[in-house]
Amino acid sequence: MEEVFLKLLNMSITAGWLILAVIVLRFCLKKAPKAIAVILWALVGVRLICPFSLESIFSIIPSAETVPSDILYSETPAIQSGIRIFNAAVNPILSETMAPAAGDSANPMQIVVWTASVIWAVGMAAMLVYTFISSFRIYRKVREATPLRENILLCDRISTPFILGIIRPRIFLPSAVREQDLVYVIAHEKAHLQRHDHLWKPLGFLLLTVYWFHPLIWVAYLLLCRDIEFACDEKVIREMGLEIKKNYADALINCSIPRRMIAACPLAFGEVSVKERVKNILHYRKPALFIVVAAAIACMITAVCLLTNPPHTAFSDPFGKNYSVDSLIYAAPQYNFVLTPETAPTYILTADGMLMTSSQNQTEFKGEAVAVSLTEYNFDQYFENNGIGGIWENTSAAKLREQNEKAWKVLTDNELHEFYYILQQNDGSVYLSYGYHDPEGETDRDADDSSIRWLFKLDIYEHTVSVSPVGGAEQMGAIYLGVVAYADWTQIADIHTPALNEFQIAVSSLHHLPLYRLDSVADIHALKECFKEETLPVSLRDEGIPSFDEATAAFDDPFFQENTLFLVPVPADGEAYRYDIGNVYNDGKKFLIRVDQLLSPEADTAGLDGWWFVLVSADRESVQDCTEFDTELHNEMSRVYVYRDSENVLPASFTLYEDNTFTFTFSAVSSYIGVGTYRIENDQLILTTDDGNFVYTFTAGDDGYIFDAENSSDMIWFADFQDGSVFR
Amino acid sequence: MHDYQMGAIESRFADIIWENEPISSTELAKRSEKLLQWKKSTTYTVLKRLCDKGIFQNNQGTVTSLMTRQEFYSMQSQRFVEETFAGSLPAFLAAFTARKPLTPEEVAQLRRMVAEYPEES
Repeated sequence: MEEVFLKLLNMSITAGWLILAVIVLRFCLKKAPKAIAVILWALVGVRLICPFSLESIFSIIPSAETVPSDILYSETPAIQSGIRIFNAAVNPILSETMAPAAGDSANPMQIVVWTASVIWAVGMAAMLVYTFISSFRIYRKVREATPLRENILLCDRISTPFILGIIRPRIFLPSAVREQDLVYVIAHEKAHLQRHDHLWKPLGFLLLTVYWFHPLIWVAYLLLCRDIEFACDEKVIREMGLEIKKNYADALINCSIPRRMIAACPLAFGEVSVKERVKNILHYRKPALFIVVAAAIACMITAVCLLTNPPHTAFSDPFGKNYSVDSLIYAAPQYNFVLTPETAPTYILTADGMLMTSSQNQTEFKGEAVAVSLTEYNFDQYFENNGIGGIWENTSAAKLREQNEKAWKVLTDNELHEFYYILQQNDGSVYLSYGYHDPEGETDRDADDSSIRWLFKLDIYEHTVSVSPVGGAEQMGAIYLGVVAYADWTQIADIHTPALNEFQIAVSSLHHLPLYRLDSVADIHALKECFKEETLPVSLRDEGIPSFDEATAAFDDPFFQENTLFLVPVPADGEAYRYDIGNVYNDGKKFLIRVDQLLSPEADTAGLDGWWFVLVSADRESVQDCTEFDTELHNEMSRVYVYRDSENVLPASFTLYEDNTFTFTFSAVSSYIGVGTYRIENDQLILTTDDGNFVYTFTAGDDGYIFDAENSSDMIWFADFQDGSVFR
Repeated sequence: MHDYQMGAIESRFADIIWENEPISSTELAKRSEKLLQWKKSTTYTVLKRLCDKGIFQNNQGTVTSLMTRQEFYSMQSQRFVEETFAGSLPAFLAAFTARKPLTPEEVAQLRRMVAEYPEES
């Protein structure tokens, strides 16, 4: 019921504009035939009956939907009357008094609208009851009527002639009507019938019962009745000749002398002032052609301008797309550092309403977009000087708000209280603001110290995430797919077979993780099919870890033209570990991903089921000649450093353990393994064997440690590494 | 009773009685139907009303008059009665419609206006 009421409210408001125009036009077209005025009222009727309307650019209706249908659910209820001053006056009050508070079962706006719609229904019922009672009384009276001729009857207790009946209308005349007036009275009533007024008037009254709450509708109905009478008078005179004007006026006066009888008739409601009618009759002239034409044109213009709605091209939501920064519109002056279109990240708006940023090194989940209405208090105020003056690029906060179609707010819950606004404007352009949110502002608008630091204009990002061209690969953060799959260990072979590093896994499945290569969007979907038992992936939102869908959203067809995607599934195994990319090594022949197992203190210590998926994207060119692909799992207990450039199948490596001990394997050939303790000083790693005989020094660098032969003991002759060898 | 003004049709009905009395109610209903095209129920309703006003009487199906036609019409007082709406229209709406009954002065004024208007050729 509330939706119906809101729709009717909006329709009545747009009709109200038309009514005002018709009133003005009527005044201007006084000389024109009154039938034109009736046509204008017919336009009003159309507006009130039709829920739909054509859109045209000529429409001067300020707004087709003054009370938006989402006002019931919006966080900041606001109206869009199309008149800025009115909006600016009303909306702050609305958002102050009607904004829903968390924990309310129904927001205040819903209660208000519900109450209003109840009142409307009651009012409409009252009008209908009145109609029925009046009609009933009329019918009782006309029982005593006597037919005169055709469909005309005489009736005692009526004071003025009227017509009753819609399908078979009958004319009722007061029985005391004088002989000489009869012909004119009958002519008038017959004119009503010819003009089908016995249909329009009840229809108008029906609209009045529905829209009774709008004062202009009453005005329109009364003026309609007036114009109908005038139009009938004019029609009679036209058909019977101007000579009869005086006799006709006399008849009218005679009929208007009141009787004792009661005329409680809604169909007679709106009886027009006799004086005016007499005046109009006496002064009636056949209207000049140009007046009729002018009036007709005025009608048509009115129809186009006020019967149509302003164009409302609905742009699809900005979600499901990636954006780069087109230009910086605003930067808060108090900060030295400003992001520029070059340094700003790519903004990803996923189809399910999440905001993520992606820059050189990683994708970061920011938060969930929630629809909001922008007001002076939650927007302008956040800019320096309320968004006036200052460092603005050709616009202002108020202007942006005026042109705004839809807006969303994204709150992160990091310590900085970063927050974003996403704006979709009337012309389809998308803006994004970044700032800091003040939790105080939720409760006290005036103590709201939130501020916006940057405002960007965004552009759809057609290209892929940038990939560094030589050697290194793009690293993406680890993502978590909370779906249980392959719980049965016997099926683990199905995971290993398609992996690129099947052989290495066979050697040690504890150390090596399966590595898949995905070359198209279809591959992503196929992989997801393999791993899902149910359809819904979850994400560890609170930790900023996106879901499978969110993270793979960035990989579209353009991406796969230039790049390829590597994916490493890591079983969560009921543990509370988190995973991240430790390192990616690519020398054109070998492509190696090292996945680190972490025990993050913030992580929920409850175990997780399912799989982690580690994603690494790489430039196709850089991996096209690679023959060897592998991943290794390093857990926190130990960290293995391997001399990758070694020619040997099993290269030299050392492992650093949590408890500051190490083991050092020099070569596959040698059975000697160095064991001892290590320490890290600044960027130096010093390994000291337990027997005290050997010391090996490394310098941090190149994503690992570089062997420093000078500060180390002599190497064992068969060791294949030397000064400067990098252990990663 | 003095104030009771019969409408033209009601008068016709009363005439049927005055011209044919004493008349049985069924006969009256038949004639009313022929002359006025009234339903039987309408006849009885109006008859009862006129009986209540003391003009006619209905004794077990026979209708007679309590006064002659002459007597009745001479008792009518010529009074100009204001039309009332009896609350069917709220006051403010009545004002809106300007549906005020024409006063005699207004009637005279209007008649003058019409009479003085030049004839149309």
